[in-house]
Formats: sequence, C-alpha cells, structure tokens
Amino acid sequence: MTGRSGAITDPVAADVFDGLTARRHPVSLTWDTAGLALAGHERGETIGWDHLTTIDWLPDAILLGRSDQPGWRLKLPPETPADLIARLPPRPRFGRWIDRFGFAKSLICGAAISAAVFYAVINSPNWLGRRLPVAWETGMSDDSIADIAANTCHTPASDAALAGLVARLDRDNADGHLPTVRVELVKLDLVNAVALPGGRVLVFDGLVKQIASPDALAGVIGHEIGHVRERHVMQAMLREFGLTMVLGGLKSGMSNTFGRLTALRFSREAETEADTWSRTQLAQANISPIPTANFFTSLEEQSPDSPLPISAYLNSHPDSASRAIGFQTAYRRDQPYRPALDEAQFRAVRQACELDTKAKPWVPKLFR
Amino acid sequence: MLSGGTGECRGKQGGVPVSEDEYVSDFEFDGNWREFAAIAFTNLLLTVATLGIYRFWATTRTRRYLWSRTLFMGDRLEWTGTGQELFRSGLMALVVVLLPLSVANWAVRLMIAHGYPIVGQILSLALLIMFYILVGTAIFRGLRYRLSRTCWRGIRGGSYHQGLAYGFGYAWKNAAGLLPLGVMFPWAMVSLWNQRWNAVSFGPWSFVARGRVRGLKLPYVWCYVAPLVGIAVVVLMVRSGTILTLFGFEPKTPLQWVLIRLPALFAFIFVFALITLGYYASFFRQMVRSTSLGDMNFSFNAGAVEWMELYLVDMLLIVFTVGLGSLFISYRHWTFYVRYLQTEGRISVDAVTQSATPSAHQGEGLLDAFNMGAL
Ligand SMILES: [Zn+2]
Repeated sequence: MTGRSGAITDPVAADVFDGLTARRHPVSLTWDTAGLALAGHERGETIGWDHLTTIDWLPDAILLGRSDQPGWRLKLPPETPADLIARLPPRPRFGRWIDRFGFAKSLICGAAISAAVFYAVINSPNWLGRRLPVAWETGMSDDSIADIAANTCHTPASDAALAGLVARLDRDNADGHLPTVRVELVKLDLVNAVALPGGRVLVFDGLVKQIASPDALAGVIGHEIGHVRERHVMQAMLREFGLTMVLGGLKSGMSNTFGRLTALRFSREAETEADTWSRTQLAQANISPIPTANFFTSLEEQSPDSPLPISAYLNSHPDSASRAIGFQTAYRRDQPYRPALDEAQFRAVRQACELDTKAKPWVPKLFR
Repeated sequence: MLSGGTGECRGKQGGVPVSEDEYVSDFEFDGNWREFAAIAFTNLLLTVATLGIYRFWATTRTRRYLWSRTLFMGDRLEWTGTGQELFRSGLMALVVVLLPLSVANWAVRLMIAHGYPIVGQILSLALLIMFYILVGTAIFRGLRYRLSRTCWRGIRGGSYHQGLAYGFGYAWKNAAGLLPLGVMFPWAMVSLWNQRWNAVSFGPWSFVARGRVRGLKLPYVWCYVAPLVGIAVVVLMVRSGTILTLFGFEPKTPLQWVLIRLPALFAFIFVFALITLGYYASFFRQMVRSTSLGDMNFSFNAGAVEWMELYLVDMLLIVFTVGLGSLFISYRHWTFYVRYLQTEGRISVDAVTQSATPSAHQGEGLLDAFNMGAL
C-alpha cells in the first residue's frame, strides 16, 4: 500500500470491536486514497474514508467508529503515523456548529447575540410602554384602587382649582387628544403623591399640608403628570407583569392596595424624566420653580428615618438635594412668573379634606 | 461483511476462538481535575454566551470526559449521547409536559377560587398523582437513556420498557411509603430500586436486583429519632448561649441573639444530616450488593462519613468559590461512585453480546424538566 507521499507505509497494529461482542480483534491497518484496509480480522475489508467517524482522542488511543455500523469501534494506538491521522475526520469537541465555526468566534458571536437579547428584554417595558395606546392603560387600571373613591376629598372650589392647574400644566393636551389627567386629594396624612394607571394622580392630604406655596404644589403635581404623560405608569406595570411572570407569583402576597401603590416604583431615569417634564411645564405656564426647589430642600433636611408621613415621599423619590438643584437652576430672572393658584384657590385645596365631610380617612390595608 | 445477527453472535460462531472466563477488576478512573476544569470552564463560557442553551452540549461534553477516563478491564467507557438529542428532548418535555401541566394547575386554581372547591380539590389531587407518575417515568427514562448511551468495547445497555409502569409504581409506592407516618418509606425505596434495575440491562444481561428491607430498619429508626436528638442538641447549645453570657457576653440585639445560637443550628443540621446519610449509606450499600449483572456482583463501601464528606466538601466548594465550584460537582460525584464501587465475578468477552434493546430515541428531557439530573 502507498501513503500520500507514495512511500510504502508499514502496517499499523490496532484493535477492532465489532459491535456484536466485547471481544477484541487485533488487526493490522494499511490505507490509501480509497480507505482504511483491515487485515487479520476474519476476512479483510476496506472501509471508505467517508464511512469513518472520529469518536474521541483518548489519552492512549484514537477511537474511530463507522457511520454504517453502530457499536463498531477501531482503537488506533498512540504511535499512529501522522499521515493516517491527517486523513481522519476532525474529532468532535464542543458540538457540531461550534466546531465548524470555531470556539472563539462562537463565543464572541454568542455573547453579542445574548447581550442584544438581554438588552431588548430589559428595555422592552420602556419601549412597549411608550407605544401602547393610552386607552389600554385605563382598561388595566387596578380594581383594588377603585374603592379609594370614598377617601377622596372633593369641594366644588378645590376641584375647579385642581382642574385649572392641570389644564395650565398639561398644555400639550389643550386640544384634548388624550384623556384629561384627574388629580384628586386623598384623606391620608402621608407626604406623598402617586401616579396611577389611567391618568389618575393622587395627592395625599399630608403633602398638601406640608407644602407652603401653591407653586410647589404645582411642581409636585407636574412631576406626577409627567409620569402619566411619559408613560412611566404603563412601563412600570409591564415591568411588574414581567417580574411576576419570571418569579411566578412570588409577589402575589403583596396584592393589597397599599402594596400595589408602593409596588409601582419608577426607575431613577423615569424620576428624572418626570422632573424635567414638570420643569418644562412650569416654565411654559410661567410658574416659578423656586418654591418646588425649597420644598425638596426642606425634605432633604428630614432624615429618611423620620416618621412615616414624610419618609414615604423620601423612599419613593430619593435624592431630594439634586432635585432641588435641578429646580433652582430652572429659574429665569427675566421671566414674568405668576402664582400657580391664587390665595382663595390654594386655601380651597388645603381645606378640601376638612370641608368634605363625606370623605373618610383612608386606612391602607397594611395598617388594618 | 461480518457474520452473525445482532445479539446472536455467541461462542464459536464464525470461527472466533472461545475466550476463557476472565476475573473482572474494579472500575478505575485516570482523569484529573485540571483536564476537567478546561472542559468545565469552556462549558460555562459557552453556556453564559448562549443564555443557557449550550447546557445540553455542556452536559454531553462533561459526560464524554468522565466516561472516557473510566476504565473497566483495561478499556474505557464511552458516552455516545449527543447534545442535540438532549436539547430536543428538553424542548419536548417543556412543550408536551411542563407547559400543559402548569396550565392545568392554573385552571384548577381558578376553579377553586371561583366556586368549585370540591371538583377543584379532586382535580388538583389528580394532577398531583399525574405529576408523581411523570416524575417516576422521568427517573426511569433517565436511567434507560444513560445506559443506552454508555458503551464499553462497543457494547451498550438499554431497556425494553417505556417507564410508565415504573411511573405508576413510583406514585403509589411513594404514597404508601409516606402515608402511615413514613413507616413504610424504606420499603418503598427498596422496592423502587428493584423495580427499576430489574427493568434495565447491559449487553446481553438484564440487571438482577434483589434488595431487601431487612437491615435497613435500625438505620431508619435512627432517622426517626434524629429530630429528637437534634432538639436535644439544640437545647444543649442554647444553654451554651447562656454559657456565653456567663462569660460576660450579653446579646444586645436580636441579631446577636441569633448569632450566638448559630453554632447550635449548625450542630443540629450536622447531626441530622449524618443520621440521614447513615440510613442512605446503608440503603445504597445494601442495594448495590444485592444487584448483579450476569456473573458479576457489585459492592459499594462508602459509609455515612464518606457521604457526609462528599456533600460537606461540595458545599464548602460552592460557598468559598461563590458558586463557581458547582462546576466540579459532577466530577466529584462521578469519581466518588467509581472510587467506592467494587466489582467481582467473571466475564467471558464472547458472552458479552450487543444489547438487543431498542435504542432510546428521547434523551432525558423529562428528567431535566423536573430539574433532577444528578450527573
Ligand atoms: Zn416620581
């Protein structure tokens, strides 16, 4: 027999297992372009190269198989000539695709694709939240919050004042192409305000009492309207939905109203966006940003460990100091600022929860 | 071409000389953890880079290494399974079993919540039974798959059974074993061991498992008493908390109160684990000894201390490498089994004929779906 170079090669001693019994059959191997010839095991035979498969490179042998005979094994000794090894199919290592493509290349490509998928999944709530119709959000609004109607404070004067303030801040919606944002006062001594699904904003009475200026109230309400208009509510709901899908209802124990209110957390980026929205709208409505900045400064002086009414706002809206600076720098010396509400209107809002005798104090289920 | 039909090639046929019976030797392992680490870390990289999809191929690579470094009578074992078949069966299990099961579970919950409590309870019990049957079937199929992909000198294992009978056995024997305060649990374990090993084979021989409960009762009684022993230990160690206070250490915060009692908790877990493993070691030792293949008998001489060491080092390895050590668990466990498994008896290589069992087409997807793959 002749090798590739044309020189005569000595036969190589090897072992064959025929796949029928566990007996070892010693054979001597020769090879040429047609295939691998086995002699010494029963009748001699030649196996075509395309029928041979490399199964593994073992510490003491190269193990070959046959694609047409499962269980047939040929054990080549370690001293197999390089000429024969070169003719063998490559050994399987990481898996067919990766072996063909290369390990490093596969790793880099895989990592790139995975990173893209990961990024898309993480950002899908934000992307989707902005594009889903506003009407859907109303449909998704939480039933467990509907019962809060009994705890909201309404007087004709306060309702009119708040509606006027919303109209002044939400000027982009002057034509009414989106549902109007409803701002309601809740009889609860908590310094906080929340944006709910369906364009609903709740301002707790504790916050109204804490605030000294109608302009600061406008700043805070503007921030919450910002959450609504920038679709943060929808984004947060989608994120929560995705989380419960992943965690498998781990959070279902939190399904009481108070849990829902606090569960709709917005990201830091969303908070910054809402602040920006608020500042822009204050500026176009000619409302000074300074009282809002002062309000945040006053919060900054409170520690997060202060009693619940104040820490609530600090917990859901961190970093009051930098927010105060943001509103301070929005001040324009030459702008003709007017108050957000006149004295009578502001008084009406502040007294709404005392005057509306039908409003019951809200006791979140958590405290019941 | 070679003569002889599959599985019929015995003795003198075809002029092959009859082999003398050979005494079998133990399994040997000649791999090392450095070689294994190269496989484990590239597996980890590829698994992360493919968001976990590569894990099926990773399993295959790991097994191919472990099997190929394990020698029996001078020849290496061979893992012939592929990542592709594992991936396909994993996907199948997810779509055909896990998804319908979770949908059914969800529907039953809705029924209970919406005014059909009795029907809902009955259906949820039926679901639980079905789940147990599926788990049992998965365990059997996992074993069958592994045997059918394990090759030695070109000969493989397998089974004629589909595993459903074992699934039913698994469900009712576990129920019977647990119901009367767990008294029958050893019986259930032994009976299930026999049932599954008697249904699988390697080469021409079916495994023969004749495990008995006798000899397991005392270790099991200890398991029963273990919690009481544990409580005694805890009481002792809580007293040791007061010993600490005698030395002038007063727990001021709840955290400190917990911290000084932490040794008590660890002692309880340690003692309880040792007793449980004592039972398991006896069970495993006894079952392996009563299982045979052809003229070969097996024994397994790891006791409670060896098992404890195995799991304790596993735990430390994982904790001190922030989870990275879990890559080596399969290596550690495989070498543990190889180290303590002993074989004796005689074997005639001509009598070791190819398995005539149908080669299992599905991998261990079901087992994987229930997150129960041991190796
Ligand atoms: Zn906010």
